[in-house]
Amino acid sequence: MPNAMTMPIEKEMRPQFTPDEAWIDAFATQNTSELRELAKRYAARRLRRVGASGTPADELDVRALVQDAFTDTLFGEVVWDPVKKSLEQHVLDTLKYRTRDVRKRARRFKHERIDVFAEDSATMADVESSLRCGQEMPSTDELLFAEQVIARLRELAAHDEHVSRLIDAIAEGATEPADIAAVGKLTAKQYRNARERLDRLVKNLDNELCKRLRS
Amino acid sequence: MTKKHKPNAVEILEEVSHQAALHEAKHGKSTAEDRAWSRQLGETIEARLAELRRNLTPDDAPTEKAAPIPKSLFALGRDALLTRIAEVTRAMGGTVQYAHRNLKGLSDDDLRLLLATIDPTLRD
Repeated sequence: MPNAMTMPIEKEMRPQFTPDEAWIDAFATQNTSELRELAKRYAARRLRRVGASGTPADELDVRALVQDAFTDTLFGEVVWDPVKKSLEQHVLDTLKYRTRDVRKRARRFKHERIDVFAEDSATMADVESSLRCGQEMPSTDELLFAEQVIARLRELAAHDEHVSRLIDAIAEGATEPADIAAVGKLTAKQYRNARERLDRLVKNLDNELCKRLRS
Repeated sequence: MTKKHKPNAVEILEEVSHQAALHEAKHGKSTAEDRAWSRQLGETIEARLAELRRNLTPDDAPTEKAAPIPKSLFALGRDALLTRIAEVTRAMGGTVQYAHRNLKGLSDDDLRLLLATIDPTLRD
């Protein structure tokens, strides 16, 4: 894989992309080092366990994914409308779908049953890599496994009302932060704090599954 | 916006993973290597943005020869030029605009030309 930083930005056969000055100004203003670093942390977290599932997700992969999210936008391959959403939201959305596809591809090469709680045969890697593209129907095994993981997440969050409400809101179909907060009847602060605890809870679950594998 | 359909277990898990990653993205710490990588990526992006700006200029646009730099400006060093440009820009409010967001990339003579262009007191 070429080094992400030395990879030429210009790819052959790209169609001409000529955004107007307002678009260029909006990109230039919002393209900060903080945003690029934030995007990298997001992508790294989403791909953290893919390696264990068969497709190595190393530092260069993460960097290339983030670089592509920015440069594909600059070449018009991914459409960004600055009037409709911020560059941060656009980049995170792009990374959300692309990391989901990476995990989906990783999962395709792992042909084993993903019933971790019944057989102790998987880790959180399987949780994340079993996630499938919206258009495709997940297999029965994947659905069963996901249901088991969610049940375990709910168990771990049983003492935490706000995290439980956050999971409930997601299960109701809420995806945007404001929507999750509204459906879960959480204030913005309660939502942010619950999200932080959910992050820890997911990590704890991962550790728990790894320990089961080692024991 | 709430989805019209109720998500299945896999989709719920996908969103849980997204929410956890959002927290880490917004509150995590960057390493020195991350910052160095980000700077390099920033330079690559700046180059592409400059190219996009150049593409907005029609191929057959007449190129106007720059006026000679007033002699008085040769006495000014880089810091003095930057200070003067900032003063003129501030004094003229929204009536003056120039394409360069980052003046660090301009030579001293570029700065003198820019100042000569925007400072009405230096025009004939």
